[in-house]
Amino acid sequence: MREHRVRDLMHAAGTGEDPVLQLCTMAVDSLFVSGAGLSVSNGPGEHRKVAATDDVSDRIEDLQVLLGQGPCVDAVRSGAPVVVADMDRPDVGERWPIFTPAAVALGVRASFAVPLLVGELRLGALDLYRGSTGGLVDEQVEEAQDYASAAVNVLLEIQAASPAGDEDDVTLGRSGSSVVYQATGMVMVQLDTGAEAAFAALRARAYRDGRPLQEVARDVLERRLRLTAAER
Amino acid sequence: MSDDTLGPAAAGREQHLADAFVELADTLVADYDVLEFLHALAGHCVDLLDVDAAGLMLADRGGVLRVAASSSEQVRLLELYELQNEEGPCLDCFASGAAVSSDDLEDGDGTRWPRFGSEATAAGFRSVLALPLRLRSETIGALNMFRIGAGPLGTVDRSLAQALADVATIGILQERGSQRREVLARQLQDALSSRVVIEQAKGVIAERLGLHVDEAFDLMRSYARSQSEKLSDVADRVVSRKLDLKAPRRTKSPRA
Repeated sequence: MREHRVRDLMHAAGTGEDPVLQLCTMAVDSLFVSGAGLSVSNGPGEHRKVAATDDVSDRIEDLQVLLGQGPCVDAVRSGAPVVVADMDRPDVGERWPIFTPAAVALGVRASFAVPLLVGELRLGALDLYRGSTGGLVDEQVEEAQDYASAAVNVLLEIQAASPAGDEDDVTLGRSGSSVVYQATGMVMVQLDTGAEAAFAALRARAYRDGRPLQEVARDVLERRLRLTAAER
Repeated sequence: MSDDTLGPAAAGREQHLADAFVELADTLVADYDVLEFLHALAGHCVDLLDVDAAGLMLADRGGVLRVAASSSEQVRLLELYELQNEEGPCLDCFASGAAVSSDDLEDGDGTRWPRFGSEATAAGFRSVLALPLRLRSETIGALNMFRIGAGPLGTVDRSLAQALADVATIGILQERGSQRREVLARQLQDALSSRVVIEQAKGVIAERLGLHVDEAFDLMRSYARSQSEKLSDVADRVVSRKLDLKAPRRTKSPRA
């Protein structure tokens, strides 16, 4: 029933704006959270941020894409919702040792994620956060899942409508994570290693320097930084 | 017309019917085999309705009708015969999306389906009813029911048969819909994967040849076009070091 409501809302609001972003905004309003973001995933290291309602959600998506840990990553891995009512609890820090302090520093006090499911496939996750502590009741989790399945419908519609050969679109290469993938390619040559090891080296370097991975990646692209064999 | 009144067997049949619908609905929930499902449906028709044999035809993705299930080998052959000779109630029903029947194949229907009529009577059937597997404007197949005796199927049986056909239709369309969704979801993930690999390949080429990533992309794209290869395949080979692209020849010299 709620899915119908979502569809009606989509119809009413559907005027050229990014429909996935609209869904995220509706989820924020209706679930009393501070922000929402959505990523499509294809296993570890391969995520794409599709939408985020605010800067913090944007950073949360990036962090998880880059760190490979967090509620979204877990929701995709398990296929089940993740509800963290209080980010300050010690077991949360143990669960996501790098993500947790980074998210808390952004002002995240509670964090939730529901998977985007297509049959057996896990296509990604819808991430929600709140600037104050507190969980979601079962009904709210269900409602979040309705938004997630509405987003799946939209994504699949877009996929069905998109021409097969649009990989030529150079503008796709401008997003934040593209910079990291490009830098990974450069580091592959610098260290003479595979993509996974190069990505890990880049991530380790960012962690050691206490800097965002995208900044470090940009330095590599601008030739201000070269990784050496010692970092492998 | 005993089917239209509640006879002594009616209570037992109602229970049977309820069980049949539950069973059919159950198979819709779990991932199920369409042919198995249709086979069960053909069996239910014979068990529950005043018909002696039943068969189902289903259009394939190209819209061509094929025999999908039947309650007996005899009916399967009869339905194949319909398809081969391109005539018969099932075909008419599928083409029109409406019920097609003959109350007496030995009398009067010799002109409608001359070959099917004689083949069906030779197999021992006198009457036939074909109901469409249809949802709104979409007809995906037909349910064929044969009787040894002449005369129309009772109205209760007829509406029950249509109800069974409707359950089957919804099940099949649901299954097709979910298959399509999974295909689209995989395409979406593949597109994501090739995006990642293309970005990595840009970096590999940029580092190797001392280019900007945009130049690296141009180089890779022109190579893909000149070789009529997919960009993502070229990128794949660059990243796995199976392809080493050469530095671009400058068309204009810096001094020109």
